[in-house]
Amino acid sequence: MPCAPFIILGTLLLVLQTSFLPIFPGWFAKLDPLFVLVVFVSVRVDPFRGALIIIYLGLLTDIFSGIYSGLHPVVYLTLLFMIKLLSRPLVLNEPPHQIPLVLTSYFFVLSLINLTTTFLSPDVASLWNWKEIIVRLLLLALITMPLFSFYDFTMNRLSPRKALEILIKPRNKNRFRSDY
Amino acid sequence: MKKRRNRPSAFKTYFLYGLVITVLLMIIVSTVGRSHFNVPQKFGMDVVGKGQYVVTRIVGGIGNVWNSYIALIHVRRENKVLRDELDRAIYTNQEYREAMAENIRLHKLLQIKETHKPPTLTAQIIGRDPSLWFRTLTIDRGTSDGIEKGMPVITVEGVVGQILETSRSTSKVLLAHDPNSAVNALVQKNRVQGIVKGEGSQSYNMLYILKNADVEEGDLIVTSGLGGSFPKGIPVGTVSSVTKTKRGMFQNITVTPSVNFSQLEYLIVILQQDSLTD
Repeated sequence: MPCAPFIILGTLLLVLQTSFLPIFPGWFAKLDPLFVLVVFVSVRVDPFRGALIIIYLGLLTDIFSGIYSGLHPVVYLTLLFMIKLLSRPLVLNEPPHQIPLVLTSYFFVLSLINLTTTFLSPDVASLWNWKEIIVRLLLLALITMPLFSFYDFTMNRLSPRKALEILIKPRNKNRFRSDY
Repeated sequence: MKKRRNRPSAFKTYFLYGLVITVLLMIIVSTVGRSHFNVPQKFGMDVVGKGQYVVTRIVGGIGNVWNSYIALIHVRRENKVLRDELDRAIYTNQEYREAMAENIRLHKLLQIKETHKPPTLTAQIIGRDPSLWFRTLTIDRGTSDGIEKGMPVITVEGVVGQILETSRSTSKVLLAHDPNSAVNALVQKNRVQGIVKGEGSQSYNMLYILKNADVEEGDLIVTSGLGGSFPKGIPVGTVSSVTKTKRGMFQNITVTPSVNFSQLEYLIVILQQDSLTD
C-alpha cells in the first residue's frame, strides 16, 4: 500500500478542516475527517507505512494546530501502536467495530493531549469540556462509516497497480473487432 | 532451504524499519515543547498556507456573491438602522474632535514629546485551529512582509493576540483568549494594573487586582504598554463580573473581550520591533 495517496488526502483534509469548515456556523466546524483518516491508516495500513503516514499527518497538524511542536506525531504514533496491539486479539477491521474504535481513539487522544499539555504548562488551566467533547464524539460517530468507505475506495482505487490498470487498459478487449 | 534464505532478509527489513522509526521518534521527541519551527515545518506552513489561501479566496468569493445578491432581503431595514447609527456616530465624532483639539492644546501646554506610532499591516485569516485545546489562527502574511514572532495583532475593536510562528508567506497567531496567552492591561478609569489571561472561552480573567481597587461591571480594560509587546491604550474588553472572596488579596474579575473571536476576518499586525516575547 503506497503512502502518497494518504499524504495527499491528509493534506487536502487539513486545508478543508482549517479553511473551509470553520466558515460554517456551529457544529460543522467541529467535524474532524482528518482524525478518522488517522484511525483508518492505523487499522488498515501495515505498521511501517502506517507509522510514516501518521508521522507526516502529525507533523502537519502540529504546524496549524496548537503551540507545542512534536505533540501530535507522538500522540498519533502512540495511538497507532495501541491499535496495532489491540488488532491482534480483536477483529478491529470489521465494520461494526469502526464507530466504537474511532470514538475510543478520539477519547484516548484527547486524554493524552490534555495530560501532555498539563505536564508542559502546569500553570495553564485545562480546557477539558465534557459538553464539547460529547458533541465532537457524536459528530465523529456520524461521519465514521461514510468516511471509512470513502478511504477504502481511495485506497483501492489509488494503489499503483490499479492506477496502472486504468491507464493501460485497452478500450475494446477484442482488438480485431470492428464496429462497422 | 528457501525459508532459511528468507530469514536474514526478513530480519534485515525489520531491522531497517525499526531503525527508521527509532530515528523518526528521536527527532519528534527532541522537538516536543520546542518554541520555534524548523525549516521543514516552515516550508510545510508555506505550502499548505497557499492551499488555505486559495480555499479562503474561493469561499470568500462565493460569500460575496451571497451577500451582494441573495442577502438583500433585509437591506431596507438594515439601511434605516445604519442611518440612525450614522447620525449618532456623527454626533459622537463631533464630541471626539472637540476632545482631540483640547488634548492637542494640553499636550502643547505640557510639552509632551509626541510618540512615534509603529507601522501596521493588514492580514487576512486563511486558517483556524480545529482542535479543542488551542486557539490559534493562520494569516496570509509572513517574514517577507516584515512580520516577526511576538508582534501584536489587533482589529479596530481591540486586542486579538500575538504572532506565535512565522514562515515566508504565512504566520500563526496565538489568540488572546487562549489559556497560554497573557496581556498586561489596566482599568481605564483608575489606571489599576493587572494581567489579562485567556480562558479558552469567550472571556478573560483579569489577575492581580487588589481587593481595595475600585473595579466594577462595565469598566473598560485597555493594554498598559508594559512588557513591550502591546502599545498602550488598545481596548482589551469590558468587565463583566467582579467577585471578592473572603480569602486572598485579589479580586476575581471576568472580562468580556472587545473582539468577537468567531467573527474575525481581517486583522491588523503592528510591526513593532524588539518584542519581549522571546
